[in-house]
Amino acid sequence: MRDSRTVCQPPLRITVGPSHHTDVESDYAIEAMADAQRNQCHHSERDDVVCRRRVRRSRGPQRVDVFRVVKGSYVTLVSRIGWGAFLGLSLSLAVSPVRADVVAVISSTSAVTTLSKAQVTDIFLGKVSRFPNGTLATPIDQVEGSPARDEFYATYAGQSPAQIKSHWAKIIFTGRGQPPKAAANNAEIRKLLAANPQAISYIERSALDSSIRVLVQP
Amino acid sequence: MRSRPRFLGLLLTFAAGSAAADGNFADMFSYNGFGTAGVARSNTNEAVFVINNQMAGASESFDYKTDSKLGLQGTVKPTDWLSGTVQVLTEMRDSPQFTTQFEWAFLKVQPTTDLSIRYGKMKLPLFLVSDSRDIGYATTWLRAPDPVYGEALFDTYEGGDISYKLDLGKYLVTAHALIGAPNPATQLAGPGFAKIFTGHHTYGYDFTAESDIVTLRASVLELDYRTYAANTLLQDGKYHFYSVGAAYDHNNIIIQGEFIELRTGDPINAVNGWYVMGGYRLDKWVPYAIYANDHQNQAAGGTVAENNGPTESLGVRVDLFKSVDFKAQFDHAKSFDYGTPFINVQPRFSNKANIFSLAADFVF
Repeated sequence: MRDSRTVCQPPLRITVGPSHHTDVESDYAIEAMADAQRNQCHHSERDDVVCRRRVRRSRGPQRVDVFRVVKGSYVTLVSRIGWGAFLGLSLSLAVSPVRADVVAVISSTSAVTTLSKAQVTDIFLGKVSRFPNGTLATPIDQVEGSPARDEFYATYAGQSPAQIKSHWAKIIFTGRGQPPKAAANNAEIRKLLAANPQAISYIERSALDSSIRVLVQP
Repeated sequence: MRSRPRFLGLLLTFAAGSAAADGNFADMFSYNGFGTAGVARSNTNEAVFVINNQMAGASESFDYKTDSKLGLQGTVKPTDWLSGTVQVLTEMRDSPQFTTQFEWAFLKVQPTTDLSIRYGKMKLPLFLVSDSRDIGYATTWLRAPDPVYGEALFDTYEGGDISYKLDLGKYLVTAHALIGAPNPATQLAGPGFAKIFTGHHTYGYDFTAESDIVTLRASVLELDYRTYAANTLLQDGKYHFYSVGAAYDHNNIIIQGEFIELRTGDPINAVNGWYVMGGYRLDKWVPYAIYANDHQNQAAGGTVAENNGPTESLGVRVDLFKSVDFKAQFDHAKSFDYGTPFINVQPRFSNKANIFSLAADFVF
């Protein structure tokens, strides 16, 4: 019933104002933002704009997309439901947590802009301690057991929480190192990253702000 | 416990000094622990199944000492380039009881992020997973295959090592060299004999290449050893240990294998050992199978005969909870005529046994 995928693969980058990313089709995102600007959406508790778009299709049932425009720049599809289910579910969907769409981030003041998933993974697993440009990297984890952390290691390293823990057990108990320190929440991650250009972390797309930057994959 | 490291005091002095300097005392220290609670039983009372050089083990009654262990570790890192690690491990070693000793106790200096120099007591890096073989949570199997991992005469040494990491993009290569002497000595005892092996003048080097998917490793270790019985020197020899290993972990498929060669200059004590493990990750479950074998020369009627001691294992690891895994393993083990992996062998023992083991591994 609930489909919280983003709309298209691979995610597209579009430019709306100064360099912003989105992970839905560009046309769709532009229309969604236009909706948001026309105030046809309402603000959720998270300070994001939540919109519903009724999508008429020539074939099949009519559908309603619930999506979120974050700070006027990112569009994430929260759910795509049939019209019949809309009345019953839309309210709870609009404020229910989005499945984490997690991206690797770095301070906006860092000189590093591009890192592959493998390079990010190597830093977080302690295999390398420097960015490709030679500066020291300080990885910061989300709290153990948090959806963002599990999602990050699943999509970037392809590993389960148990595999990651097992990896660190090997390193800790042979005296070779300690895992990255974990920050308590998104606000702390933004704060740590803003203060330290060497810091690297990951965060839900919906929690981005101007102090941090999404690492572009080459 | 002979091996209490003298430099421990030095380490603490260092730590306290630096802590006072930057005032960030709590951040410097980390404490961790790991352990295994395991039971094992076999289908016979005609021999006792043991691993490594243990002096007690599993028969038709449940035995909890074969695989159980508890490790506690403290690390102090006053600066980026200096750290100290102390790990105390309780397990059954070369006696019938649990014993506790310092498994690791070293100071590490890292002049650069790629170079590290350690001094103290450390594990002998004989195998692909030498370092972490005691940490059940870090391994797929319930226990390391004994035909290979049981061939190590010594487990830890005191001395120094140096390791250098080279990032080649796809592969991370580590070169490592050590010098020192094994500590503690190993005791082997059985009906009618008791021997003590001491190790001296040890050096070794190894190379590891690691990608996201593959790990390759090769190592060489040489040492002088002496064998004593009732304080009389029986033998003074050289011990050479060579190993190659590879591990693959990708798309839920796990494959791992190693080959070792042990040479002492005495044809009777020449051993080759190898194993292959295959596993498949099904969400939280990892069923696996291991075939392990060793090949040893044996003196028989004035000639040197060959012997094999294969162990076939089937098992499963399951990760249902955070920080705890559960494992079950079934082994079909065959022995040499005179032993491994069995002790207290009765004359009518058929030289093979089935062993069933359960374990819970945890980290904290």
